[in-house]
Amino acid sequence: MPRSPLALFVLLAGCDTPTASEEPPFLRGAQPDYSAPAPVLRRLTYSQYVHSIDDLFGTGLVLPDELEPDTRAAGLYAVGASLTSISALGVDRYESVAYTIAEQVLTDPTRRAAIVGCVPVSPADADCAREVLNALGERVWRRPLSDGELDVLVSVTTTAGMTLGDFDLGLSYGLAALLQSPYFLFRVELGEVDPAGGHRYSGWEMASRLSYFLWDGPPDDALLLAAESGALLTDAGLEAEVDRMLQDERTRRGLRAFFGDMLHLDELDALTKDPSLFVNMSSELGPAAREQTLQDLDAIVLEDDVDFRTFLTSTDTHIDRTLAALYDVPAPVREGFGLTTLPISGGRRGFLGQASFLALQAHATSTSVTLRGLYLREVLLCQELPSPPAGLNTSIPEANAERPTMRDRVAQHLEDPSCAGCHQLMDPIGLGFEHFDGVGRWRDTENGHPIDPAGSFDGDEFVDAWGLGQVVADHGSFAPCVSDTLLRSALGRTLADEELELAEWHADGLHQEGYRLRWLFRDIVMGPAFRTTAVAP
Amino acid sequence: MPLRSLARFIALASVTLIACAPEPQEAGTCTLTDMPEVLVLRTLSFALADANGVSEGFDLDGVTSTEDGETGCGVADYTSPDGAPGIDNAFSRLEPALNSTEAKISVIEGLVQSAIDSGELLLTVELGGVDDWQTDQCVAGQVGQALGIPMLGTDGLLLDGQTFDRDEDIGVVGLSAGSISSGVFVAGGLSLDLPVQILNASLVFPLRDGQLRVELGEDDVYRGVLAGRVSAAYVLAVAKTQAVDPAVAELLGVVLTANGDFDDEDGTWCGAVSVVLKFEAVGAYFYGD
Repeated sequence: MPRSPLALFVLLAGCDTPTASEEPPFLRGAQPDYSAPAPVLRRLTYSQYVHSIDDLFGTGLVLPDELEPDTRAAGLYAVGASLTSISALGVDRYESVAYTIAEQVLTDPTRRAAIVGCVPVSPADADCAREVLNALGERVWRRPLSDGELDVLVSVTTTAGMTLGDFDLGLSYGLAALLQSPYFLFRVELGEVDPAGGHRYSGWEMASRLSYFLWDGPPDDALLLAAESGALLTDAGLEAEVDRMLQDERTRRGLRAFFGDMLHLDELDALTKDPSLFVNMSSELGPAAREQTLQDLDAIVLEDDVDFRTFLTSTDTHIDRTLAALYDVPAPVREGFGLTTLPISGGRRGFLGQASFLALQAHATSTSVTLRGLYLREVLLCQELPSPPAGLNTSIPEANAERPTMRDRVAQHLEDPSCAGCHQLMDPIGLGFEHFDGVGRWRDTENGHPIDPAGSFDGDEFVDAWGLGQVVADHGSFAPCVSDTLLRSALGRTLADEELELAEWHADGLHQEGYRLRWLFRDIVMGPAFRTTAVAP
Repeated sequence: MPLRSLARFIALASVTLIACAPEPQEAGTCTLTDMPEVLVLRTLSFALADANGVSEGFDLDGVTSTEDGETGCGVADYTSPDGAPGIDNAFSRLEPALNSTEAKISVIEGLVQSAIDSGELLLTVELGGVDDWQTDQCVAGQVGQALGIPMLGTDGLLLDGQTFDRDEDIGVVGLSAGSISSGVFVAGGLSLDLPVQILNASLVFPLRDGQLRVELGEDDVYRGVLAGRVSAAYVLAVAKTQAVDPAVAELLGVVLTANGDFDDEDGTWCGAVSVVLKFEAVGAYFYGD
């Protein structure tokens, strides 16, 4: 019986009821005045690159596992993308993959037919090359090509075709040139003068901003048509496209990209545990844990469109055989992932009961109250904690007969004032998860001693991890943190001080709308930060 | 290959012995609940007596037999680790003979373990109505078999808490008089025909009159023993069908006959041998339960 009778009593006494419905109706105020900062130049992340190739040429092409590495800034790859360039090695990789893609596309009759609609009359047929590159170039660069740009690409193609004696071989050079171009690898969104005053993103730029935010991929033909018609520059036209896009399956990609980024789920690929201590560890565990988290979010945000804070409190979850064994519950399906309801007696619910949090925020040989507490504060509540001073030993004492449990060891650790200042903010919270070992499996005892997971978090008491999930869900910073993080992801940059009022306005809207994240995606797109910019420096 | 044939045969025979004990009892008042605890055996090996005459197991016949005595066919019983006399485990006496052949005990146990790890031999014990794993006078139990490809942990053993299909082709068999005392579940009355697939051999073994003991450890691993008796004639018949090396089969016939300590179910005098198997089990689930 994993959960204590006291914990179950508290649960059954009604402490876990959703709080949103108990609050009085909330209405946000008027949109604050807003002055946009300068635009940023974002490089496609790896997943955006892959999705772009998938959407342009069809799925199934062989792509390298790594291109130029993504880097996180302010906790997000989406922000890091605007602060990074391409290394010499990266240039080589992008060049190499561009030619690989071109060859795969042009040697596959079906893929080739999708982009080559003319019949070349010679290896250097300029008219056919122009027709192909003009149509394809608009999709690859996400905007029409100028005559000058097209002339250069046609010249490359015909020269290569003449030299090699084959139109397709020549076209492969033109296609590779498109794919190596900064106009493909970067999102060049510089803005234009808004006739109504100030600067705004152009229709073509809005198409890219929308598609990479909502789909983590490039615009489709309908979106490019809307860009060309100017519809994306009007409220009504933009609303219509957003609503269409949110109904599209590709929104799942966008949701996965955002939460994978925010929650650091990519790190699960490198999950490492001591196999002598954690028998459940396998190469499948990390990816399975990520899939559980993302499927749950998909259900909450897109399928059910409900209060996203249930992400921390719901017992409904999607698991496979691997995770079912780890969580010690029946597997709902024989293959893949299925929906199940975790038993209350298991003491596990929500994201904070999942391996994607519990195993990732732990050491290879043990739990980590510090990592778990720090993650709650920094990732879920957007609080900034100072880094430890250089040279300071912050390690928690080893277990021994006098200090058999983590709580005992943390108590000693916090006696050191040089540690207590920061660790007091993390470790007592992390102790709430001590019933879950370093890989996320329930344990009744630690070194043969009972575990006491109770504590308080910013003044709110909790009995165990079950209750702690509710405390975090109800924390005044959680929903605004998710809102701010989504806004930063959409903009690809950190927020300037002058934008904080707008960020709060979006968060207020999220509150008003019952914490439905699907609504927030739309609200951010329709907001001024997404649509306007200052003059590029 | 003689070694593999004999080893396979004995592995099969060892499984047969799981459920050999006195007559099944009538169903009691204890019933399996909707969500019984399911255990799946992750190891199964012979419990052999030590040099001091100490052996795990049960007093299957209720008497303490001595060598050349009038009971137990003159085959001496052992003493349990906690000092109880009358432990029947005549198979233990076959160890020297077997180990003199290619069919060493360790080889047989390796084949059994392989069958478990590959999912060919997933024996399950279901316990219903366990209110307290220290003391519970009313625990219903049944033995069956699971189907599925098991997940193994980093220790090479079946992972705890995984889900299998119930093997509907064999009838689950209720254990009788199940109860827990001092943290140990004990029951008897097991009788079933168990289909076993080991090394591509599909056979049905009549399991009769078994007894079982299980204890839950602090590491959430269940440990226990199974004891019963097996007909020597049946074992030898199986040996013939499995093309065991004739010389080894002859040796087997000699030692089985010499160490028979029970009458078999056909009434053949001293035609059966008692055996004790020890096992480890972990919690499991069935799809759809």
